[in-house]
Amino acid sequence: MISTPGPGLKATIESIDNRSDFKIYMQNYAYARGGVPVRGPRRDGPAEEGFVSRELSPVDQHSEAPQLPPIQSPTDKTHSAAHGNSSTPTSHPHTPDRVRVTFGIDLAEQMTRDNVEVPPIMEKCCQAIEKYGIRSQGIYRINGTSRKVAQLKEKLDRGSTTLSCFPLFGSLSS
Amino acid sequence: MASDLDSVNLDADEWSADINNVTSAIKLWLRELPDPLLTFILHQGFIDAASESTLSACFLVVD
Repeated sequence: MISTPGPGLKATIESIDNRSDFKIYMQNYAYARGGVPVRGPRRDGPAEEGFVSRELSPVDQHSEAPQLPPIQSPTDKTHSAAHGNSSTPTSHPHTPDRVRVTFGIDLAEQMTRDNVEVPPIMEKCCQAIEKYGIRSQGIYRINGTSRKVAQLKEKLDRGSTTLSCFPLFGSLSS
Repeated sequence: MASDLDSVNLDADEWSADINNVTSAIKLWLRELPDPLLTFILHQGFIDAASESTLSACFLVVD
């Protein structure tokens, strides 16, 4: 027989807030990484040969990180500070505001930016795949038409063609 | 305001007719992540875990 003093398993499990825990974890991760994507595998080696030490861990930042806003690139800082709305900042330096690029952006950065637990592109595409592709064979094995895939990527990144031709259209209509 | 992702309607015939375009787009997105889903930092850990022959040894490496 095992007697369990304290709150008990059920109460403990109920006290776990996965949603906020995960959010804080991702924000710490993005903060610890400084928003700069790591290129190439990390290896350990002497500092004089250009190896970067991997001592920077998310735990070190834990005490101060939760209050931090999502990571943004320096070019966006003035913009979002001036407007104060964090709903549509983009962290891609090469695209205009109000365009949320999904491809080629670091996963942690995307998710803190969009404030989600599942990347929106995953949710959207998987819904469509389950709806229309669940009966076809080899959906992930067989490639699509490269022209159409490029077109879809472009649309997912920049919205409809009217939006990308007239970047101001979105702000005028909202 | 709708985000750029939301403005794309995957229910439209253009995309739902050939689902392989959608699956390829997802694969392309995964491929273009600057830091892979199984991150560089954890890369060596995955290699070490995969070289173990038993599942419990795998867990030991991961821990």
